[in-house]
Amino acid sequence: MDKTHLILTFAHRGEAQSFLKELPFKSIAQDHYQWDDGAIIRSLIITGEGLENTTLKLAKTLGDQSANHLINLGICGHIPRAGEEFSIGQVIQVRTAMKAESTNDLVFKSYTTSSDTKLKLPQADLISTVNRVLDKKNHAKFSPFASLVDREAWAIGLVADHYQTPFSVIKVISDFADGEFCQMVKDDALIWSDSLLREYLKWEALLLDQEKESDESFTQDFPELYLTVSQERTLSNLLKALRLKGREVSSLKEETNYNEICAQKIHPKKKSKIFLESLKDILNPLEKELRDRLSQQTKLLSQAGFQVRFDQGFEKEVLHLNISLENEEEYKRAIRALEQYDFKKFQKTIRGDLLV
Amino acid sequence: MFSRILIENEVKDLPTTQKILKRFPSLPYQFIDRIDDVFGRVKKPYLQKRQNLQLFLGKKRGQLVKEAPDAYGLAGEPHYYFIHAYNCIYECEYCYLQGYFHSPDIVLFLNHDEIAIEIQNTLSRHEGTVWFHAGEFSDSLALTHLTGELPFYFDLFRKFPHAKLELRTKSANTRELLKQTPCPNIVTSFSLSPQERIKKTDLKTPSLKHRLLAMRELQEAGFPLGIHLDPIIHEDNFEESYQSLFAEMDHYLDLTSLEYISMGVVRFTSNVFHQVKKNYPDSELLAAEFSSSFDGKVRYPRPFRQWILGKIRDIALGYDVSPEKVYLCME
Repeated sequence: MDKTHLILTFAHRGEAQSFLKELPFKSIAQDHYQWDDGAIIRSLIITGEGLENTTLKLAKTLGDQSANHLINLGICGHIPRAGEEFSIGQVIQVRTAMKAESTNDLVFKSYTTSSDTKLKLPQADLISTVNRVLDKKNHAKFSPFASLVDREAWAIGLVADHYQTPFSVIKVISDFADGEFCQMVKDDALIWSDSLLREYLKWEALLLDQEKESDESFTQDFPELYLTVSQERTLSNLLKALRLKGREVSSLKEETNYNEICAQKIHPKKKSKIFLESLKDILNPLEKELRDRLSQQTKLLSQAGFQVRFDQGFEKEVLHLNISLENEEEYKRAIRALEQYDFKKFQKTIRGDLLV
Repeated sequence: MFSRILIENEVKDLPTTQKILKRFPSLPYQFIDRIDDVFGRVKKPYLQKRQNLQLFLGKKRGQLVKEAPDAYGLAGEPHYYFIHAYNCIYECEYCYLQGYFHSPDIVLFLNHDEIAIEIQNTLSRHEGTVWFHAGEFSDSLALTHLTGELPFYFDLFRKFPHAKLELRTKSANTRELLKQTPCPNIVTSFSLSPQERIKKTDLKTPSLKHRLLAMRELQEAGFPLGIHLDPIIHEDNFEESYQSLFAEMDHYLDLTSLEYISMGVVRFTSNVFHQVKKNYPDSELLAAEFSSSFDGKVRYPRPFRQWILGKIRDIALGYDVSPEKVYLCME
């Protein structure tokens, strides 16, 4: 996936009208539009109302083409609750999307959006309901959990989770979830779609800034190395961990004798391997100390032909030895090595007698 | 601190409830039937505690006193914990509460009388010393100025000298405790770490100095104290850090009169470790030399743990702490 791909989902065309009017989206299939500006592909999907429609449409789209981020935009109902009272037309960023099968049946699984405080929108939690909430009688059941209701956002979370894609939800409040909304939605649809577009553009700018930052490769500081894909991933992980420990690239180059490794006349992949091993030793000094000690202690056994293994995590004072003997000479050498082996020393090491 | 209060109908008229409501006059509140109807019903991300922390007041139902796991406290005596709260106002990066309740909201149970009955029932099944720990799922002192249960537990444990109560805390909120008359079988234990470590990982907790000052005040007033050096997190200079920590502890406290010093090395269930990765992607804990251990927990391999604990134990003994007062927690 070279270009950044963003998927915008709306339940109804009315919610998307400003996007389709103001931005150069082109229809590529029914209810599916795309705008490719060379660097970013934006897919706009009209899913239809409800959790099932949203799940089906979005899962199909993501199955066809993966995305960097999903965003659901649209209207939602508001159940005012203590400390969270919004007004009609206000734009809200959703924090967590929950699902209610009915007023008495909230689903445990919730999905947390990648809400961004830099967007400076109020944040709130939302419940996606199977049926429309049209009666104030239901409010008391929902209000301890969330102050927004819709019929799609949870499904976006479900699909996003399945495809391990981050998602966001931005909603404009259209009604108070009491049944009095249809005419208002019609009248104000364009204004609300404009509000959503305005916030979407801010959201997109922030997202792309963040992606640019995270795209800065950890590995660019080591142009002399030839790295396989797997080695590149290992290097990236090691450098990330070392940075968490406050280590700078310049000092790591010095500590690992980076220039000397690069100057060696060996296979490029081998150079990278040596360098990665050195980084691992810097990241895990205790493990290196333990490994060196045990390797020193079992040198005789290895020389006699034993394969030596230890308990995983060294929790048990167990030494696993494996050997194939083909003649009496090998047998005698193995016995001699075993007789000379200092098991107590091994036990002391496992019990924490480290030199570090 | 809180965004709203949710109150079980059954406790709405209790004096503690009224006291808390008076304490937060502008905070919105709502009545609910049962805490269980709302708390943990839907997964709520841990870090929402920063923007949207709710306070629940209600009654604890079900098992009120539970047996503590092995190696929880001083060896040779039975240990139990009782549950009077869920979750904590602090935010330690290694905290196991991240993966425990599926919600960071604070729950305060107000039916201390029922907890007391259960403590007495438990006591009746034993003859010798029995330990009861408060603070398994919360900090024992951090909110005591709101909850006001300390006099109740002091009165209770004064009646049962063979029962020991441990109040575990990272706070320096000892105001309510100091109003009590010290009781030899009620031990207040403070979790301490080197200041640099507190700054890095024990977010929103009081500084080491504030905790030590609070401890000194308690010790001078005659309150029995314990110390938990838990979790110990390895760093290159950990020996010097713990040398300095002991020097500071020694400066403020009489270490020889402590009830105990427990030591435990940082550990996580795999679920909690996953939460740490999610919640604190820049934490240096994620660069530590952990491996999966004998009990499925993520921790340092045994030789490292033993080595770290041995070093710190030696430092403690160097300050004349008697060896039988030093125990290893969860090892």
